[in-house]
Amino acid sequence: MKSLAHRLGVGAPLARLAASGAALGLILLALAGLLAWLEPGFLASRNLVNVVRAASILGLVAIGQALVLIVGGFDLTVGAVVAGASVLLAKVMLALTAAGHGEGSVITLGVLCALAGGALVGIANGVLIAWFRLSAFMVTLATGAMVSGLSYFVTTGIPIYGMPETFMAWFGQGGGLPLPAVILVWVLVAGGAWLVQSRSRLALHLYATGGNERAAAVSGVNVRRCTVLAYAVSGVLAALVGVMLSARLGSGQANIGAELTLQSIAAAVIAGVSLRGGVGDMRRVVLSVLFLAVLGNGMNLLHIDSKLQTVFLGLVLMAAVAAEELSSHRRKLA
Amino acid sequence: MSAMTSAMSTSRSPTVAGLPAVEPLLRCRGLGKRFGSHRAVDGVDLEIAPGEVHVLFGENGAGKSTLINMICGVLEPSEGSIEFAGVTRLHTDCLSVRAAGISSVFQEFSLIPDLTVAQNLFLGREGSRFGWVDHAAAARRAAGLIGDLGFDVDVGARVGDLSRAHQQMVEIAKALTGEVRLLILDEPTASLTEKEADRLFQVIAELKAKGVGIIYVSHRMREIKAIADRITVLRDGRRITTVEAREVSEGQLIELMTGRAVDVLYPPIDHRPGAPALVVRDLVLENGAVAGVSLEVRAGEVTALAGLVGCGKSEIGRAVFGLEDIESGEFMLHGRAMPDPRPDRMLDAGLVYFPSDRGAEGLALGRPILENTSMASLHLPDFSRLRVLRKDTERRIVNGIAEELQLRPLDVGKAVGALSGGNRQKVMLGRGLTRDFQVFIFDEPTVGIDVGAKVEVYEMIRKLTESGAAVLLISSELPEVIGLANRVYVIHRGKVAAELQGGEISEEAILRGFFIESTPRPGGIQ
Amino acid sequence: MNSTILKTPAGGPAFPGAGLLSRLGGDLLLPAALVALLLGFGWVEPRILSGDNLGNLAVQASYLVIFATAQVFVLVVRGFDLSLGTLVSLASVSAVMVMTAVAPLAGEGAATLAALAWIGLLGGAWGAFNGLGVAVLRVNPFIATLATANIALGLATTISGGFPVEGVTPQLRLLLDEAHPAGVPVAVLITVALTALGYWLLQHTVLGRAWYLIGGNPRAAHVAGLPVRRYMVLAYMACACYAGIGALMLTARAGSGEPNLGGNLTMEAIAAAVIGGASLRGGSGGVSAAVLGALVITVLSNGMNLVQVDGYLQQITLGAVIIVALFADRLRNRGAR
Repeated sequence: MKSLAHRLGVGAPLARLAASGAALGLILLALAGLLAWLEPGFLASRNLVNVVRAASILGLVAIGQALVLIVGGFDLTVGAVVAGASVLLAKVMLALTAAGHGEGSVITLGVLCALAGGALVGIANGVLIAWFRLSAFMVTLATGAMVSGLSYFVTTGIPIYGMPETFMAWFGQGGGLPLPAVILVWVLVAGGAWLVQSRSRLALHLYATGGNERAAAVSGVNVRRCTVLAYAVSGVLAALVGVMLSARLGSGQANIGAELTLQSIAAAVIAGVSLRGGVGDMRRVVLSVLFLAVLGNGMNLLHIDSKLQTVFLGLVLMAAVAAEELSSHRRKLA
Repeated sequence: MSAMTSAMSTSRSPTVAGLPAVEPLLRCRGLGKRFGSHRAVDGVDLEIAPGEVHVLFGENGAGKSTLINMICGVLEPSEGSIEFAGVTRLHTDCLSVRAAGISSVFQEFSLIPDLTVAQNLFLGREGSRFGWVDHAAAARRAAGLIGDLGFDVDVGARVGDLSRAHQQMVEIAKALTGEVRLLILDEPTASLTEKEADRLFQVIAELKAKGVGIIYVSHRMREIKAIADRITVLRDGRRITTVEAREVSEGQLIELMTGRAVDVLYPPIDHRPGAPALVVRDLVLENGAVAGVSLEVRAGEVTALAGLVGCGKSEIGRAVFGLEDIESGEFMLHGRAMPDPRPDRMLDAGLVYFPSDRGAEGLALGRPILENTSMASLHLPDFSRLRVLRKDTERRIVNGIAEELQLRPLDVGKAVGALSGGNRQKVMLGRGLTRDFQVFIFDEPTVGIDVGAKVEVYEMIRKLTESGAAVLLISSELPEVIGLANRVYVIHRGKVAAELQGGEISEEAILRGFFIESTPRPGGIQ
Repeated sequence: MNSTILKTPAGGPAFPGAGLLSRLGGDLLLPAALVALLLGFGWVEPRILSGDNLGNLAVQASYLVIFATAQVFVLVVRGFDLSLGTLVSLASVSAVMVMTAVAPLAGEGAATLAALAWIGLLGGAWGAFNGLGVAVLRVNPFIATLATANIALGLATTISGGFPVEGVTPQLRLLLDEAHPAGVPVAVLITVALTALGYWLLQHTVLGRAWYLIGGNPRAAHVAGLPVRRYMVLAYMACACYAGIGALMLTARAGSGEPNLGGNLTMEAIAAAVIGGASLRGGSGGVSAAVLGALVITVLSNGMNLVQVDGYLQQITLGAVIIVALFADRLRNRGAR
């Protein structure tokens, strides 16, 4: 059974182009150039900061999602974890403030609790999937529903206010820094992810786990630990986004982040991360997230109806995956 | 278990001929493995001395892979003990077995397609400082290792981009990283060229000289003759005997392997060659596995394609059935050209292909016997009317076929996945009896099934042939080809290396074709 | 060595009664759980077992049964339809728009028929679209239907402007919601008819048989000469048509075309099918899985509503039930294979 594109004989060049991050970079540059030409307002520094801020929120989640996809998994909980972390953060901060703790410890403990909560959800997912070999899709669908249900139950859907001002100033605006904090966090996390990917033993083991689990296990890779770790990191990054968003919104909310789940999968897939596992490059995930952010911003600037924008996102996703399908012809081990 | 085994480890095996004076490196006692009620390996004793090349010889399904899987710690033995370097193994864990110095190369590779050669070589054993690896140093180390082995592989290449032969070399190199005291090689030359194989034999000789023990699984007489010190013959999960390689002839080995004189296993077939039912002309595949093959399959006789694994013989059968991408060439079925073969068209034209990999391509293991048997005939009037299933007739027909093939258990509602290999094969072959076919292509029909089921498969081939069907048998088992076929095409590197008929068919003649160095016979095959 | 022969085989499927046990587990566990659930709730709150509430329950469950059945068609071929929910929204608003367009020209009767025809058309086309992506372009079903889900959502909100579309004809309401032939709500009757049709398709036609075989092993189905791609496209078409009919029924009940009608339906339908025992690995499950799973979810939420469990807690419970169902599936497969 040959794919259509293979029959048409366009497989090889397209695949090569798709497989190299250069294609994505070029498309991104072309898109940005086009926008700058059509709508000079695009290049205004305020607008650019907005684009990158939007990118960094999605980008943090997408890095975790990509990691999970690389080990051959799937994480549908990230959106729920963003909201859950936001609620947990606000609750803990309020409780600690009420108990008379100083601002510094309130912030530190609150953030740590939120991140730990994210890690806990990730670990639960990882254990259910790696140890009991349940379907990643269904498990994360279920735990996502549970986390989200819990956040709404705790807040009854009402935002929780009353977090320390300093927290909002630092994590929301970036204190005295020229850029929003979330952008800096994203740069640091993405840089760290790239460093790990290119230099660490762990990265090799993660790719091996997703690429050929049996072979990895036989070679001495602890595949279960790798799987759990990937889900845990994804949970922590989602929680981090929850923290950053709460700081910006000034409240803990149960209704934020839901759209990030599917968006992060879309971003990872457009970046060429394979749903079959074992393939993915963090640099391309960054490019892909930027591409989506620029695309969304451009459509806004051009006054394309936000409802119609989802149609475009669907089409872009379809095209990207078709390209990936072509390149995967090469990827099969004989 | 452990108390029992340690008590036994002091007794010595009486059957090993010409035991080397040194203490054996590996000593298996009464090793057995059961899968459900099936005994894959049954009470096998095996000793490997340091510096010895010990060949395991047996048919497919004789228990060789189960045995080596137990030795290298992938499978847990159901009974018996394994003692390595004087230490009795207490629990099964492939990592600690590897650390103890037992290393293995299986036919199924343990490589990660998206990592580089160097990364694959040291996977799980990367030298690292605080979790960070030095890829450049690893690449240098890998290049040194590959260079020492004399292989020609780029250590920076993605493994998924390599040819199967190169992947095989990486797999071998991977097995030799770290300290190795016992090396297990499962048909390592299957995809290597002569030159590469010779290089591997040199490596084996060097390892021998260093006192490494080697368990070598192979069907190839020439290799066995060249490198074996001793040979253990396995049949139906049991060890038949262990012999000194130089003291045994090929004929004796084959008889030991099959357990019966050749004519008992293979029914005499009354070949009456008729008109060519299937004609293949100048077949070339896109992937290059077949490079210009012409052949004829006549009604009323068994035609066989013989050749080594990976020579392209299987692809010929698959291409005829529409499972491979064809570059050029043509087929005639009963004199009618079939320009664009596809499984459904070929089935309707009266040709059926039984794939070698039953699990991957033959059967839906989770579905019942009934559905798997009638699968290819659902649209026929016996099975459906106006696309609505006639379940009663279907059940009656399939029950009849199941009885004829002596399927056990005879419950057609049972999932195929619950059956033994032989019975699974019968279910698939039963498909050929659900409708009227004139041409049957059997691709490795006896892989992984027991001798009893084999006899029944051969019997089916005999009946079909004698009733006037054309049978194309694709097989890597030489005795099978010799025992059944009336016409043999020897395939070598995607080309017909020899065509033999009737009395010309002999092991020697076929083997000559296996190892011919791609010099087309004068006159060629027309 | 012979003494060891007497030991029981280590693992493996072949101990006597394993098949029977797993069959009992598969076939009777869930109905038993359902009855226990009903009785348990009834013990706490007797109103649950009242005739009124049971009738209500049947109507509530009928929509989810249809959507879960739709999902089963594609689950059987190892597929997946994430676009089901947003397709429901799109079908709802577009059908009402068709009615408002046709009614002034040809009357409300014709408008009702036009809406029905439109649903058939939309369902067929949408299913073909999904099926082509999955079976011909060979895009992972998750991504293919995620993409089309976005497209359907965008279309639904764009054409409706994001607001409910008025103009459901009285005939449609009567036909799909208000009628009570022989005292039975018409929604229940339609659902029974659709599940019966689904059962017949899956169990008694060449198409249904082929779906199971394709889901069981697509390569083997291809080698056995089954038209794998065409049948996979048909599975997605059946799924979308069922979703369309369900959407029209919900629209008739709501009284307007709702751009958010689909909401959580995708996930609920998948959850129902999986709780009922359909496998994401394809080749198994049937209409009974859809019916049982949908009933479990509906009884659970109806019961929890009546004993006044918070709606958010219900969501948590549903998540836990899914995980329990996954474990049960795991155990069942261990017995069968």
